[in-house]
Amino acid sequence: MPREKFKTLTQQMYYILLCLGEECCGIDIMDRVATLTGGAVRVGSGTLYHLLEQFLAAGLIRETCAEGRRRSYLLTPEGRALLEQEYRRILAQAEDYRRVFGKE
Amino acid sequence: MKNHRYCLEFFAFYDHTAIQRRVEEMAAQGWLLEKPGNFLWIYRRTEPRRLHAAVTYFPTASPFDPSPSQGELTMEEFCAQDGWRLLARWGQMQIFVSQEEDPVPIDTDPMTQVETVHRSMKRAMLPGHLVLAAVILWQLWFQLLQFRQGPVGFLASTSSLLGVPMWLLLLLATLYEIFFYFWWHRKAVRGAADGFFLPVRTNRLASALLLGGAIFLLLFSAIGSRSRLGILLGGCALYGVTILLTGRVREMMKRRGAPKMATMVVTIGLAAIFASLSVWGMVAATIRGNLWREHPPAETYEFSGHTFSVYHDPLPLTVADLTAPGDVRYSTQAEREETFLLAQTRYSQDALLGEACGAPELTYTIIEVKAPFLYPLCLASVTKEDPLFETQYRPAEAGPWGAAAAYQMYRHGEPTSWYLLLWEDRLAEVRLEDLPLTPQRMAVIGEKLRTA
Repeated sequence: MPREKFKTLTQQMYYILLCLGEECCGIDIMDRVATLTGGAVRVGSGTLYHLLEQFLAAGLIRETCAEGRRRSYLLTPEGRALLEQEYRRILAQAEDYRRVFGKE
Repeated sequence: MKNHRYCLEFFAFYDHTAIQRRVEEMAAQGWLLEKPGNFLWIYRRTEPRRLHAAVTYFPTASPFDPSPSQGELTMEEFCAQDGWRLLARWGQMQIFVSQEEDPVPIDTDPMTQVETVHRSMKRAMLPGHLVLAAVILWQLWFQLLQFRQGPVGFLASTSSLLGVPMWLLLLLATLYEIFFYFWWHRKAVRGAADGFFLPVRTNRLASALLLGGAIFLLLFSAIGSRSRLGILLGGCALYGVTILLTGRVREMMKRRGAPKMATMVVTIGLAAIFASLSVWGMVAATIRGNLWREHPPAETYEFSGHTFSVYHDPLPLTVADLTAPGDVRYSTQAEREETFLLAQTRYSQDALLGEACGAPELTYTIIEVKAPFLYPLCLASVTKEDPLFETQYRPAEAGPWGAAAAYQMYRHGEPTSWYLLLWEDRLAEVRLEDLPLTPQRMAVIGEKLRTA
């Protein structure tokens, strides 16, 4: 079944929103995600652009300032709640793992 | 040495996988993509180099935009950050290349990619394909109507007969594109939900074969027919001029910064006006130049200020076979249409206008049925009653004609000089003007039409 939009976040969505916990310029998010994950997660430029547009339209982020085409964004309370929900989902998965294989 | 190479490419608009591969292959051979298009892609010569190509889509872009939108430029900047350089734009499609060894892909989230492709397809390609499918269905319906109205003429006409498989092939090619896209999209959405990209694997050979088959049938139906070949070539030339002209106007308006809506209205309006004028011009040229005739007249003559054609085609049965024609001048014309199913030949011998009044004239049509199973259909079509003119064929004596069966036409209940003669594999309709029937004449007519 295709997942409902933003009901669960893809890895790329999750890290873009996570980076916008602090105000950040769109173009800098790619580097910030790579630094945050030690290079394990790379966000493509097309994916980043389209997701920022979608997050903005869904009210998950807001634009804080725009200088020409250089725009900065920040997570909204709705975005934060969604991120929190995703975090709890991941924690629940980790908990399930621990229940099966014990604490490691 | 050529600096540009023009290639016929059969990519589906959403087939980013094949396009990427092709751009990379051509770059490795020293040809860099300059301009993509519906079928014709232009490459320019460059140093052979190993490039990575990426095809991505921008759903809100339009071929009528005077310049790239702020959004497109922003995305271009994002891509440049990762080392991707824009190579070409084609509507919603954007093609980037990178010289880096292992660049971060432009699309790294399959869910976002599938959604972007789908939004672009819904705006760009799918409406066009659906309109095309509707036009083809209308054409097939029109062909069916033609068959119902006159099955003999339809089955004897190469263009009508081959028109059906030609339109069917075009319909299949269009439906193939639509259904294959939705099949891929459905699977791609499922794949994206599981976190992986589903590459597009369209079978371009199937599309090329279907389109090639349709073009072959179109050309084959025109071979040997002066009028059809002329109309086909004229139509192709006018279509090419329309595409070229509207493309030039669109590019000129874009260069001058005209608003998107104005460019769209002018381009589409111009195409509609030019297409209408072309059709009108072709119809006028066809009528004025007698282009619908399969062969030109032998001579012309003037009568009451008008020009009339005179033909000297050989006829199997002439007035001279039945009576002394005197010194009346005639035009004798034969028009034949033939397919592997049946042949229909119309013959006429008409006195020139202004000649002696009451000169005998002949008109007859011979239908040769090559496929016996079609005989009942042909007979039913020819003997069908006409409620408008109240005509019907009634059985007549066949013996004097030497035919297997004979009918005479009645109009408003009165007998006319139209006769229908039947043999095992042919039907002949004959009309006599000012030629009273005698047993000798009937025998001559029957013999000549049977063996014609």
